[in-house]
Amino acid sequence: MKLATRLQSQMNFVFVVTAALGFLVLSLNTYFSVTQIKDKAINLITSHLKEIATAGITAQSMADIDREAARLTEAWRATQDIDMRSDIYVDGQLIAHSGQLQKFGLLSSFANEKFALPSNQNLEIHIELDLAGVIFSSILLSTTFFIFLSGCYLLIRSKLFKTIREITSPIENRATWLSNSYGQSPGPDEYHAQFESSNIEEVKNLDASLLSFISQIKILEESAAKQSFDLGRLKMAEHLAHNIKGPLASLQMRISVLDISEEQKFRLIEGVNNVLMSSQALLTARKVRAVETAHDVDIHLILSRTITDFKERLPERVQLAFLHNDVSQIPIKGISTEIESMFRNILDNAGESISAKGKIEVSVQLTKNQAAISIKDTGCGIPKDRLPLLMKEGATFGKPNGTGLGLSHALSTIQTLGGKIEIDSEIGSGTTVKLEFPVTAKASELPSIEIDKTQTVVILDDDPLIHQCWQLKIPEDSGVKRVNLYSAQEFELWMAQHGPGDFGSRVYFMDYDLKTDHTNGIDLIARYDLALEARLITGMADSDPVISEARRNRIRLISKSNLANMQISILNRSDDAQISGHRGSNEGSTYANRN
Amino acid sequence: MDARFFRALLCGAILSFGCTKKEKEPLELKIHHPKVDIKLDPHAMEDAYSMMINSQLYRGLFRYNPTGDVLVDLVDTWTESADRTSYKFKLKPATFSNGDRITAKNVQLSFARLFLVGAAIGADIDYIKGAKTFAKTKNLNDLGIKVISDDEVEFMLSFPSVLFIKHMAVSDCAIFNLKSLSNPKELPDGFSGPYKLESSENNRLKLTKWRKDPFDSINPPEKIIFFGSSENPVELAMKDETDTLDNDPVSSKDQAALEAKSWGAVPTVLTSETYIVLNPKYVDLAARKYLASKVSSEDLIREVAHPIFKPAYGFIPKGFPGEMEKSDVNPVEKTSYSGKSISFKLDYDPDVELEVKIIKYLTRVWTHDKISITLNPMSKAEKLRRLFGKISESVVARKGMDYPDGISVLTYFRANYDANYFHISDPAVDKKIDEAMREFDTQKRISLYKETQNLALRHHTTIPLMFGTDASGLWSQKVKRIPSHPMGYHTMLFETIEMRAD
Repeated sequence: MKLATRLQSQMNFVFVVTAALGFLVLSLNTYFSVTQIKDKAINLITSHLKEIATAGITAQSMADIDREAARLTEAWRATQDIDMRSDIYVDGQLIAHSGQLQKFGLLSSFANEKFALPSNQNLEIHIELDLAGVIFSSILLSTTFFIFLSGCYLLIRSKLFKTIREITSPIENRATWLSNSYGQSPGPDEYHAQFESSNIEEVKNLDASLLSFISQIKILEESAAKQSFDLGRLKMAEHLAHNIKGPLASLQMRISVLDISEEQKFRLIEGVNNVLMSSQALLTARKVRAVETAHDVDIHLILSRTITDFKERLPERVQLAFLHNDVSQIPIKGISTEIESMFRNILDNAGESISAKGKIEVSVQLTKNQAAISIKDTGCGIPKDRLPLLMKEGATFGKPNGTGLGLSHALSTIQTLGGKIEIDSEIGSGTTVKLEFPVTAKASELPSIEIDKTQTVVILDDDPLIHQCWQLKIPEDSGVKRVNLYSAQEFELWMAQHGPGDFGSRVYFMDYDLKTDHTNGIDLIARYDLALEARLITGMADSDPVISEARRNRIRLISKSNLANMQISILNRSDDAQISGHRGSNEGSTYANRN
Repeated sequence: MDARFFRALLCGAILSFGCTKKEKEPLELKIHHPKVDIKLDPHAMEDAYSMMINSQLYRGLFRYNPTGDVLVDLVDTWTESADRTSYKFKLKPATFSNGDRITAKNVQLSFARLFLVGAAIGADIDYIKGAKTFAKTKNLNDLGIKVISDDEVEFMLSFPSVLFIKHMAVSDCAIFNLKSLSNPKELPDGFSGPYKLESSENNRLKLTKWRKDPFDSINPPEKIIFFGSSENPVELAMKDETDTLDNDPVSSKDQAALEAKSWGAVPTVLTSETYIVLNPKYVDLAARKYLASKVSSEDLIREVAHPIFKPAYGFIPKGFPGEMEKSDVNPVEKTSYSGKSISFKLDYDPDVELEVKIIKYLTRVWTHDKISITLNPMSKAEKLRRLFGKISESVVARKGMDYPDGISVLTYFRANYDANYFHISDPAVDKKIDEAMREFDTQKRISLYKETQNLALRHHTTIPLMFGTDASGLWSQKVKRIPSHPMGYHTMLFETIEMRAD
């Protein structure tokens, strides 16, 4: 039921009840008043006349009775609103009369009192009260009350309900409309066209607010749909990245022990890194950036790696020069995959802009706080009027298969780094892309892990490939006792069987995600108080919740992607023989308590 | 203009219509009376109906209210001498209906005329000094009523009378617009009462109210029509041709029918007495003694079987000082009639149920070989005419009181009283009445009243039958309020009646 209709229905009920109660109270009041007045009248007349009549009715006392009755009646009329008449009989004979001659009619009340006098005469007093005035007054009062009540009711109904309807009708219509439109995705314009029935400013404002609200909902619905899609992609990418990291780490480990030249090993490992980066490229969707965490990277190394890769794809007619300018390292805080993607896009653009022979020159300049990278080509160039548009998503020039995402992505990436991008181009002369960004302190070094031969290495990971990787890192002939555990249950059982051991007698490498709901690597480290002896080796080293939890428990954190590059030193008190891993990278190692 | 405007207009029209008081003709009060000879001269009137009309046209120094109390009328203030033989009256500033001022001279001449024309009341108030002498000399100087100033007059009495003020209040003592006594039979223009005679034709007297009166009701009758009719009064009432049956007997059935027409009853003529008058010319004393001895008031009351009626042994109504108990009456000798054969007519009104019952009773108890009674039914008017003309051989009659004192009944037995239709002329009675009038001691006066009644009763010309009346006291719906008038409506002042406004 609509609010106004419900209120009106209740108002009708209240009106009827009030009117009925009013009539009832007035009727009862009239009835009891009349009864009381009648008793009063009888007492007045009889008490006076009986006294006169008691001595016996004579001609003289008849006159006295008549005079007294007339006097009492006149006094009654002067003081009461109800007219009265009386007839006094002695032995059936009318001896006195007061009041009006005729009976009052239907609207009257009678009372008869009979007395046997000591003189053996019978005195009979008939009293009649005219109730017409009282009843008329009561009716008048009732009518006035009813008219007043009706007036109030009609006034409220016409004014208040009009206002209520003016307030509620648009809201109810909107509710109805929204209910009817559920699932039909109505547009704001359609909504706005329906409701203009209120002149009340607040309702208009509410209307505008609701319109704005619905518009926002529409935008959020679209956004949520996209985000949902992107989150799906992200989940899938995370899953893939997580699952691929183990095998790739194992592959890197195996490459490192291949009997090939160091240059070839480097190239292979870089290839594996490219696969890793490709898997990370899945995360380059715009929403993924929001959930990816920036960390210390060497942008010079990323640029070098990208150029090396680019050279292999560059045709021979195009020469590439990389001018280091004595710069060996450019530390910044960023996402390596994004940065590499930015460089690859710019280099690809440069390469594609050169249709014949040409040259690409990449130069790096480093000042105290600022780094500048210039990528200059001798390609076809870009028209001046198109340059402002190039940074916009979807804008492209000169590339038959261009998506228009390259430079806009470069812009967003450089802005994330706090830097800027400039494009200078001339048709026929070529294009120069200048990137400038602030540098941070030197990236942290990958800490080396030292293991004494007397120590036992306990490895907990559900991935067998990781165990193979550790086998390469700590071979059996290294003299280090290695315990491989594949689940939390196995770890708990092993710990139950062997106890915590002496402090420093063990080194624990624990995975975070053990594919079980009831615990994870951090929980186990905390439960067995292993923070000083354990390291968390996880593919979720970039995850803020994991970082926060590890930091809270003061647990050192190592990304699985850096496992291949991690340097492990096996010490022997009598023999300082050292087994070293491959050349490490500055990237990929983090501490839980890093800044 | 919208609907609201028209609604407002309609409401206004209804309200203005409701608030506009329509001028209406004042209601006429129609009073019937038997076709008697109405005498519009208070000094010459004999019947109650003439008295009723004259009471509205003329007023005196004092007046009776409906319950018999004396109130000042034309008098403003008065003083009396210590020996109660001199009363000085100061008059109110008042006028006659023709605008002439009412003066002390008018008062003197009006009372002088009373004695000159032999008004009935004259016998009552001949204690006014020089009244009898003046009746012979017609010299105002002989009359003990002196004009002191225009508005002050002095009455001197031969002896103090307790009844003087009461006598001054009877309607006979009216004040006329007399300038001289050159033609005392003619009454001059101008009425001293609140009503004046507007027209008099075809036995219809139309009175209109010409002044406001201190005793006026809220809405007194503005026009009163008195008309004589021989038609049955109840039928007149049923046809709305009369507005009262106050003095008429009405059967229970008729009364119910009239009450259904919103007629109402008030107490009336409670002092009335019904009696038989035997004319000595036709019924000798022996026969009257015999007939009186056969009548038992108690038996008659039982036969009538109505609580209104009470046994009557004398002439002063029950409840008044001087009323006669059975023991007060000198016993009538048990006698049989052995005189000459007589025959007489008994007048009665066959329309009156009570009189029919009385006749039935009397014919039964009066059965005698030598007494032949001829029933003589007639109209009330004819019966009254014959009664007042003293030509009835015998008649069933009824009489009320002129004023609330036993003497008002007894004075009718005076020998020289014109209205004495009781066929009594007894100096002993006159003497007792005079003594009673002089007596201020209540107990002694009551004894004198009783002695007077016994003296009158010994003539057996009047046989008391019963007290009480069958007069209905009914008035029509035109009358809203009317004072009780226990002495009958002929003593009532009509300006005290309240008419309905609509």
